[in-house]
Amino acid sequence: MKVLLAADGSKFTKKALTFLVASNSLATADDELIVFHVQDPVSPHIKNKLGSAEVEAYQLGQAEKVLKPIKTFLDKQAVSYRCVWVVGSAASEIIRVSKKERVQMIVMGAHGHGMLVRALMGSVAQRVMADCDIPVLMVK
Amino acid sequence: MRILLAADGARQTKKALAYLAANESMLGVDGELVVLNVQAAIPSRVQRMLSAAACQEYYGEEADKVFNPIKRFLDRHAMRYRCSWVVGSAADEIVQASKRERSHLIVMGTHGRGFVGRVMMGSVAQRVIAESEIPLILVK
Repeated sequence: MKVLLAADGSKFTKKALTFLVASNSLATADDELIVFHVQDPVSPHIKNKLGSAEVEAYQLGQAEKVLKPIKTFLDKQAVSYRCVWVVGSAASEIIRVSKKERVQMIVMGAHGHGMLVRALMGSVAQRVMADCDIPVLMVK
Repeated sequence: MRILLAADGARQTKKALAYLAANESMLGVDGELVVLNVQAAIPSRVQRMLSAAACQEYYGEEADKVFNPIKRFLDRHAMRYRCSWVVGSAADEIVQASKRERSHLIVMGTHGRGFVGRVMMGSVAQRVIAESEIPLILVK
């Protein structure tokens, strides 16, 4: 199965990874796992001040911070995966890449880093759920 | 893995079943699939007019209407399962059943009908996400 794991580095990402590996079916050597991370865009105002090279280096650093522990974890398991990161709006990018890559399932945390941890469900999860046509695995 | 499938007989139930059949290895050797149907309680005014036995019979018949096609499907795929139905509020009963059965995963459909369905997902799915602590697969 081709699975997209939306990773934001919150504790839910860790839980989702544990679940995927424990499931014996969703992430094995025969499956295809895409670890996907979205970086918030930096406002044009700041970008102008810092220069785009500086901003790109910053975003790369931030993405590495999220992806590195995931790589370390997955390298220890018999899982075939690849990491992808982009800059943009989380929900739209998750949907866009899922369609482009024709994934069969999206795995994500019911909440991310947002403030409203006690809300029913995070806003990204809600938007992904509303817009996509494939099964979504929500991890809490 | 112990999986709880919340079934209401809608189109999404069928899709959830197809999903489970495609990922049968998720259940594992000692896994268990529990198919749960929640029946809405008969209004108390009507209940008073009927005997308790008649009410139970009605619930049973309605649950069988949901279970029969599911049983046929699961039998054809030679999957081990158990059906059970309860009376009450869908979200509460799904969460309670997952605790009772010590499920590792809940699978359920979410009704995306029309504009409202696309913008918001079903209220039952939302409440289950809010209240349950285990991973949940939502199938659209």
